[in-house]
This record gives sequence, structure tokens and C-alpha cells, in this order.
Amino acid sequence: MRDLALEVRGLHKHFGKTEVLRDLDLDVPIHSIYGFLGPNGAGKSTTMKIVMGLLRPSAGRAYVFGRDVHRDGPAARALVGYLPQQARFHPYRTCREVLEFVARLYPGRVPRGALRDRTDELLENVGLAELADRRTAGLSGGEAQRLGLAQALVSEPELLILDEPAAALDPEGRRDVLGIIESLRGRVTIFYSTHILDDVQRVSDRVAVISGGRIVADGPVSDLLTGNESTWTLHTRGCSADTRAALTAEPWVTDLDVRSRGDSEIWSVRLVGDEAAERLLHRLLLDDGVDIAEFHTSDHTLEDAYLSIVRNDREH
Amino acid sequence: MSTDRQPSRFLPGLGGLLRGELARWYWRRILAHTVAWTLLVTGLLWYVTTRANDSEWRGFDLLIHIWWIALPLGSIAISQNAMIEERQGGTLSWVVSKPVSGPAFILSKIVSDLVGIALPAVVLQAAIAWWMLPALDPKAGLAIRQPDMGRYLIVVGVEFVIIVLFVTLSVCMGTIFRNRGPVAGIGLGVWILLWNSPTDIIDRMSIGGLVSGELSGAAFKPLTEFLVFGQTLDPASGVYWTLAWAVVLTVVATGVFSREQF
Repeated sequence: MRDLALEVRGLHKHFGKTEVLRDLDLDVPIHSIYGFLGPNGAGKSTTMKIVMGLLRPSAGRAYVFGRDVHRDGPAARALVGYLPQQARFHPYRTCREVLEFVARLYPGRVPRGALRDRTDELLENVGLAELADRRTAGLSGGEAQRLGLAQALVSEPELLILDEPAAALDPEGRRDVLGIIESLRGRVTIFYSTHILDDVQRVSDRVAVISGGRIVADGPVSDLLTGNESTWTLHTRGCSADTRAALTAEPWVTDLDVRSRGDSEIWSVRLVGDEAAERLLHRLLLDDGVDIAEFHTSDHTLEDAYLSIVRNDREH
Repeated sequence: MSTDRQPSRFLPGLGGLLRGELARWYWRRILAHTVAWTLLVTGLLWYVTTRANDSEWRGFDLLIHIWWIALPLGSIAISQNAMIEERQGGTLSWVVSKPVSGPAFILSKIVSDLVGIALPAVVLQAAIAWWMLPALDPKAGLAIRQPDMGRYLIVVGVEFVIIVLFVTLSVCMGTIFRNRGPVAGIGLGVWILLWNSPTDIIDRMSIGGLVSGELSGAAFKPLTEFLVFGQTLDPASGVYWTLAWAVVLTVVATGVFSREQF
């Protein structure tokens, strides 16, 4: 527990008869940037809300730096900055007042004399310096998201929990958020959920994939990227439906995606990636008389790994 | 990991929440309320007393009567929004995701509304009436003479207890219901019940027995009789019971709120 910023053990949550989390375990090491991935409704936000004390678990425990989030909630939350999925603020406060209000809820975190400098710096960092004195009622969705990130950071937290921090942002805003996350590397533990897998691959040290309310993969990003699958791209002509069906039936083919382009087709074939499977694929297509204009393997991306993990989980 | 910057174990977050809530009252809101309460209480007091003939002159009884109408209604109107506004605006879950406790959140709502209502509606109007009513007294009669300062402060305290009751009631109902209608409706129902209580038990167990009554005839309200005629505060139990109800309502509100999920 000593080296963990966030520890979740045996978490269950059900709403009525719907089970949202099932025996979920999670270890987020101190100073890691930890991506939390999963399809819609998999339980990402529910997990985060339980950690923030907004929901009570049906069973199980969660600890922030060893503090039980339900028995010792305020003490645990004092170490956390949290950005909810939909950031909402008091409409009568200005952006600066929101940050000052939040900072005062964390006693001793921001010295009184440094509060103005701290809020100015944060508003500058998230691109809201010019809107510092505008009431939050007039903010766009992206601006509210930026303010949400600033308020999560204002207390100089040791653990940052971000529920889809880039969801409402334009590309520039997304880049800024990634830049802020990068700038905190090694100083703050960041646990965040997202659907933007490129971002995860770019900044995360570790990821966990949640599906159906339980963790189905967990580990360093590099481990997920070196799975035993590979993706091959083929530009073909004259391929029959029988060939496709035969290929899909092969046990070593985990996915086949076909797109038409003019009189040819582009196939993306995901294989259980040993060399024999690749040779077999090649032979099968040549035996069937398929004209292959191009044939190359693609880099295994986090998206490939994620889709494979989620699909495998659903099938089993 | 830092461990030296922990929130207070007693009502964590109360200071920050209270400061944030009170900041809403600075300065435009408190000025608007000051103007509105002055027009309502002092304006009505001045209007009625300057047009009253000797037999209709009620002096401080009229002030207590106006307060008994205005304070419950004003408290309900302002405090029915305290929880509903946060919940409907989606800010409730945001605030409680900070290092604050449920009781601290509830208390910050109650205390800020008490201050925001009591200062312009009771303290300021009481000060104005203290000087204005004797000056308007057409015959310097018994019922409108300058009262004893100590008794006047107790009357102001009783009026504050009225605000305490209706603010805590509204905040408590705001934790139970999701819409303003039931919150305001229950507050109004309690006010009407206390004004027209069908039994002495309610009079003795609430503030209504001290301040309700008609604004005509020979009888004055018990609180007026205490203030102007030097009688004992009867039933004084109403004050204690009302404070006890306020404590119960606050405990219920924190209990319900602590079980809420977001």
C-alpha cells in the first residue's frame, strides 16, 4: 500500500439489479500516469465516483494513499484533484472565484498570499487568462472543461483523477491537456479515463482496461503493445466471398475488416501473430488466385490491443 | 506524500464553504435585499402608522406582526433554493467531491442564509423601528412607548429564531425533495399551522404562540406584551422548542444528505 496512490480492492457496485462493477481491483502506483480505458458503460466513471466518495460501493474498499475513501473521506479527498466528466460550476462565480473557492476547501494547500498568483498561473496554463473575470454561466463546453482541469489542479494535489479530460475539447485544447499531464509527470499521480487511445499511448505509463465492470487487462502500456497479435494490410483484387469466409473461419484470424477502394479492396487482417500464421495467410490468398497489390504488416497500436482485449472479453 | 495538510476533523471544509456561501451575499445581493426588506418592513410600518388614528395605533405590535408575515415567507423563498439550486445545477456533486463533510455543507447553507436574511430583515429593520416608531407616536400612549432595550434585544432574538426555524426547515426539505414545490409548500404549511394552531400544544411547542394573532382589538401578541407592557415571555417554551426543532431538522438534513449518492 505504501507505493500506491490509489488502491481498489474487491469493488462491487450495483444499481438495483444492474451490476456495474464486479470485484474490481486496481493498483495505481505513485507518480504513474495511469490510463483507464473501457467501452461506454463499462464502469469507469462509477469507479472514479466511488473513489471520490460520490457513490457508496456495494462491497469492497478504495484507498487514497492508504486512507479509506469512505471511512476517512475528507482526509482522502484532501490529497486529490478531481475533474468530473461534465464539469459544472456555480454560475454566479467568475472563473477566478471558482478557483479561489476550491482552493479554500483545501486548508493549507495554497497559502493565502499566493492564491492570486496560483489562480493566475492556472488560468494562463489552461488558456482562460482572458476569461478570468467572466462568470462561468457564459463559458462554452470546452472552456468549462479547461476550468475543470484548473480547479482540479488548484490545490496542488498528489493524485489527479480526471474523467475524460479531453472529451469536450478541440484539438488545440486536447494538446494543451496532454501538455499539462506531461508537465506533471514524476510529481503527481494521474489516473484518467478516456476514449482517445492515441493520447493514452502518448502519455501513459500504465493502463487498465475495464469491461463489464471488471478489469480485463492491466499493466504497462509497453506490455499491452507487445501482445501476440499482428495486423496485416492487404490491397487485393478479385477476392471472392468464399475466400473471406474461409479466412474468417481460421482460428488464427481474430479480425477481418474489408473496405472497398475503386475496383480493389483493402483488407485489415488481425492475426495471432506467429510466422506460420502469416505464411498460411499468404498461401491461402495465392491458392485462391487473389491478386495482391500490396501486403504489409502494421504497427500494433494501443487501439488494436484495446479492441482485441474488449472483444475477447465479450466473447468469453 | 504530504500528510501535514489535512482538513480539520471537526466539520471539515466548513470555513471554506461558509466563506464561499457568504461571498454570494457581497455586495450586490445584500444591497438588493436591504432595499427590499426596508421597503417591505419599514415602508409598510411607516405607511400604516402614519395613516392610523389613535384607536388603530399598534406601535411595536405592528412591527412584530409584519415580521411574522415577512420573515417566514422570506426565509422560505430564499432557503428553498439552497439545496435545489445546487442539485439542479449539477454543482452539488462537484462541491462534495472536495474535502468537505456533509454536515459542514448543510451548516454552511443554513448559516449563510441566516446571516443573509437576519442582517437586512431583522437587525437593520429593528434599528430603524427603534428610532422611527416613537417618533411617529401620535399620542405617546402605552402601547407605543419606547421599550426597554434589553427586552427589545430579546424580541430581536425571537425574530431570529423564526428565521432559524424556516431556514432549517427549507434546507432539510431540500435534502429530501428534488423540486422547489414541496420544499416551499411544506414551509408555507408549517407557517399557516403555527399561525392558526388548533391546539395550545402547538403554541407551547413552537414560536407561533408568541407572535401570531390578529392586528385588531384589545389583545396584543404575547411578544408585544412582553416588550411593551413588561409582562413575562409566555409561552417562553415556544422559543426553546423551536430551537430544538431547528436542531432536529439540521440533524435530519445532514443524515439524509450523508446517505445521498451522486
